Amino acid sequence: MPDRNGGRLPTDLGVIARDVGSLLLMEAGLMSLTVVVALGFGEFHAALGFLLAGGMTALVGGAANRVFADAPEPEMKHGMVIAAGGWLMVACFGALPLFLTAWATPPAVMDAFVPAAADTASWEPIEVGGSVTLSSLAYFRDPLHAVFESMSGWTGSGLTMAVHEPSLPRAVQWWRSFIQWVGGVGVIVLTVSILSRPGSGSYALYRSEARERKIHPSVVSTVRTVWKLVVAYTLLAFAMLFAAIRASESAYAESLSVGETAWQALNHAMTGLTTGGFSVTDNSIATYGSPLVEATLLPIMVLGAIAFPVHYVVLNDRNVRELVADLQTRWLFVLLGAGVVVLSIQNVASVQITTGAFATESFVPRSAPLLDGAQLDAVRDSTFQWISALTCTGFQSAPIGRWVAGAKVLVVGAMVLGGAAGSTVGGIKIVRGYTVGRGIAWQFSRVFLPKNAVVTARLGDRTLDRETMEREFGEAAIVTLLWIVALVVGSLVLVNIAGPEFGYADALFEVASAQGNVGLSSGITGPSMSPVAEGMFVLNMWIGRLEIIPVLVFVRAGIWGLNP
Amino acid sequence: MAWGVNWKASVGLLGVGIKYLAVTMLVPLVVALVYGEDIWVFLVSMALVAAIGFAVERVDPDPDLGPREALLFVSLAWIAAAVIGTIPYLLAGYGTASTVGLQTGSLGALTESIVNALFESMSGFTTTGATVLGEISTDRHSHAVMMWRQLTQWLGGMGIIVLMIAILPEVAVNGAQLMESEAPGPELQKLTPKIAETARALWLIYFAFTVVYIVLLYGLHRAGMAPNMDLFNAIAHGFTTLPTGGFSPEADSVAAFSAAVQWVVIPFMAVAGVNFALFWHVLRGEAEVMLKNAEFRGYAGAIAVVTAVLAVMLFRGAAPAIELGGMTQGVTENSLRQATFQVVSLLNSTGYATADFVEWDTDAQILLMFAMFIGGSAGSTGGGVKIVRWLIVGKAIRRELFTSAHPDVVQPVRLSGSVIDEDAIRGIMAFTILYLVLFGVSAVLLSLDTARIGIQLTMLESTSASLATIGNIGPGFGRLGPFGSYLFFPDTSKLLMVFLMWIGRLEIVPVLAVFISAIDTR
Repeated sequence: MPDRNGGRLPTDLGVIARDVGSLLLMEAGLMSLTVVVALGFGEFHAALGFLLAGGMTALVGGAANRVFADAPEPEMKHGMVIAAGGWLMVACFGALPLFLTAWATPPAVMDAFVPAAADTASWEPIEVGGSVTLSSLAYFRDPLHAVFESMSGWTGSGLTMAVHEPSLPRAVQWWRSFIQWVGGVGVIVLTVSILSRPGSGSYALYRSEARERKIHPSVVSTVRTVWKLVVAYTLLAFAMLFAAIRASESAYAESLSVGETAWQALNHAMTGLTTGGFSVTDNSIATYGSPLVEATLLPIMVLGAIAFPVHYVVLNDRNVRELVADLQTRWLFVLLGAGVVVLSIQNVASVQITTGAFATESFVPRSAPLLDGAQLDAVRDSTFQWISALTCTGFQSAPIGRWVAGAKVLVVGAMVLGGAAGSTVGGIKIVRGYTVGRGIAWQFSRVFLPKNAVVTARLGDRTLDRETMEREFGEAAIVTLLWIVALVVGSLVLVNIAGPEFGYADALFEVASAQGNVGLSSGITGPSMSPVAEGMFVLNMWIGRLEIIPVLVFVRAGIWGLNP
Repeated sequence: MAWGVNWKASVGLLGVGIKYLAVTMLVPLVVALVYGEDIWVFLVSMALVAAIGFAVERVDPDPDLGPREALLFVSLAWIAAAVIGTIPYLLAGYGTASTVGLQTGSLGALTESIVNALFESMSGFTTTGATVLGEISTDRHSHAVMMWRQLTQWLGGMGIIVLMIAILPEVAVNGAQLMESEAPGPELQKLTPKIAETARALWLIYFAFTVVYIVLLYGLHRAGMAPNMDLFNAIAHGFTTLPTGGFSPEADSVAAFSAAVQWVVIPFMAVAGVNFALFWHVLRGEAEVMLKNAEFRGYAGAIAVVTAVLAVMLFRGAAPAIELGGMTQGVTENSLRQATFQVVSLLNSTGYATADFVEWDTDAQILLMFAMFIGGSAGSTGGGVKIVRWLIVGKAIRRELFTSAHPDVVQPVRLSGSVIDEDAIRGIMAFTILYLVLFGVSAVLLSLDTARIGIQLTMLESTSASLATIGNIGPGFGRLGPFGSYLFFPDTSKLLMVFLMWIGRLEIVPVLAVFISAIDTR
């Protein structure tokens, strides 16, 4: 391509390549750490896979970092491109250890990962190099599956290609949880410091000082604030989950050793708090069959859906009132409550006409007025699934694929909206939904006002003048429109290739789940799905995580360069 | 005034309009005379409507409209027209098996017949073209009633308010405000200094196209190329093509006619989706205004692209050999004709069909559904989101991509060389999102409501029902196809769709503005 930008394009390219290279170097560090985990569990094939992957990632990242070492400091205009490109590259390289471990491990060794206690009668054997194995690790010999899993991890989605998670090596289980956890911190940095610009809700809510021209200081300061909080919350969540699993009376929970309990509690604490949703149990949270574990996860998921600047104010300034004062947090609680009620009503009404749609045998043998046992189970699953969907976590406690279309569509609504901007949730975020709603009402009430009337609007505790309000609305409206268009197009494509057993509601559900970085599944996602749909989901997760516009800026910059 | 609106003035002015609606019933009356059918239906209807008109007029004999009253008037006018339009249906079908005739057997039958008539009437005036008639034929329903059904679309097409401004001096006083509320599209182009003259010019163009079209259709019949396109059918289709209506007195819609007729219908349907103001410029010898118009180019381009894709799909066998529409695989002329006809008809919200496209492959149906989202041009008789809005939304998104990387640069959005006002851009954003949300929520409500009475809609059926009514298109997919019927829906769903057709025709704004300003007292 002829350089139309008077020699400035290579400079921009250098800035971007150097920073993406730094991200890859950090990822190589995470892989090296996982080598230690693999060795600790005696999984030498996995250790080899992670070591090789780490070496290759470090090589590429280091080279990019070294070659462009003298590129200038990145500015705000580079931020979006670095974020979009970085996420894509990190996800691609994050697939390497899965892919390499799958190829490095011989089928006989794979079989050893399948838990002896597991009932494998219904598991599908996978052909690997002339022999068969039941271990889901074999799926990652397909590079597309590996990229899917990595993208699902780094974007905090939680859709998985590993059908039976317990049959994965510990190192791979750890890697899946670990990338969701680190990716979660990455998202907070992304929304609070890189995407935060005038015209995006999180800017108006959480930043008032003049914009910085340089992004490094802002990113570094955000990470410094966030990581302590995330570690502290994770430890808390770990302790709560550990206690809950030990105290559960279900057969599965009682069969677990102390070590296994700790391992599961740690992994689920990491993926629950960062609203990721990967699990290490076969049927996500439904495996436990324990209302206690589900109840313990609810506050953990909700913590993850509250904006981190709010956490900071609450903890640092000992100001609990901020939870109510912050617009998004207030609406989050309202939506959580209202949604649980509505979804419960829909599901209780459908108990008669659905089969096997809700958990059964495990609920506490206690009756409530007006509701029989089956209806109570429906309420319990509705509660957990609604909160899991709205916080974009994706832990699953019920076979949602068997719910009626109305319930699926309600959950789609939750997944499209998502939680608070500035947290790890996906979707369009509460602040945008609010701004669009206010903006539309305002557009219409304005019909009777003179053109130059002085109008102000309130967004949280901030009073916005007309110009700011209009800019906020413009940005929110564009993101919302793009989001809906991508959702509709994606679901129309999917309904055509998903197979006759899935209806349009299932397709809509699955695309909303991928694009909202949620991870709930109506049953379409799996290693046997069409490669076109799988590739599309990788794209959906990527654009959803970055709120679409940075990806478009990335594509635009790739074609025309960054300058006017 | 509790509402902040002088509703009496709005209602009083309605009476004037209703009075004149009685006059239009002369057309079906003449048809009844020609065919020797009962004339009492329309005689009684005319008397009733005239009486209602005079009575309503008494609410405020000397109406004085402010901006709020004007919006309320426009919103009410379409409801009033739809309600008045039910009278002939109810009377004509009284005591027969007609699905839109008054049934007094039980309360359920009574409400169902009234809701059906209201649906058919609203579908007529808003030029939607969705029907609840059980059987479409002039034998079952008289020629006169079928002609009334066609006439409602012709009256609604250019806008009943525009018509009133053109002929009634008392309405013309507030004409600009009224027309702005009714005109499809984001902005009103005033062609002449006097708004009544603009309205008259638009109606004249509309009228002229209709006459030329009827003459052509009947000409084909006389030339022996269209055996069943008699004078009745020529006039009936003349009444529903230019307003992008889609009603046909033939059960097989335009599939009932020869290929020659279908080729004549296509350009006139296409014309109906063009901004009529552009024709006014062409008549004044300024053809370049039309050719340089971004929306006109977008409209022509959208039709060309979607048609080309669909024609290739049909040629390669996307349509099985079906009874209506015939063989398209490997047949160039038929592939091209079926593709062009269906795309033009659904894209600009007409709703005629020459093939039972619900039998086509899913890919082809989804392509048609995509076309249904586009809509006609602003200032045309078409419904939907409208080309100009999509163009501006697209340009605003492109601008956003640029400014998010360069926040300091100010870059206006231009269309056809002129800068678009930022307020207008935001208004269009608000409209588009609201349209999509209403469409989505209604689709869910429709599927829940029909499930209530034990009918499971497919997702394609519920979304197309919602889209076809809010976009004033008419036919949908599945059981709602071009030769299907909306009859099986429960009353509540039909009322929701009546609401969607109404709000879709008025493009949401006047309706919501009245509601919001009434609630919002700040």
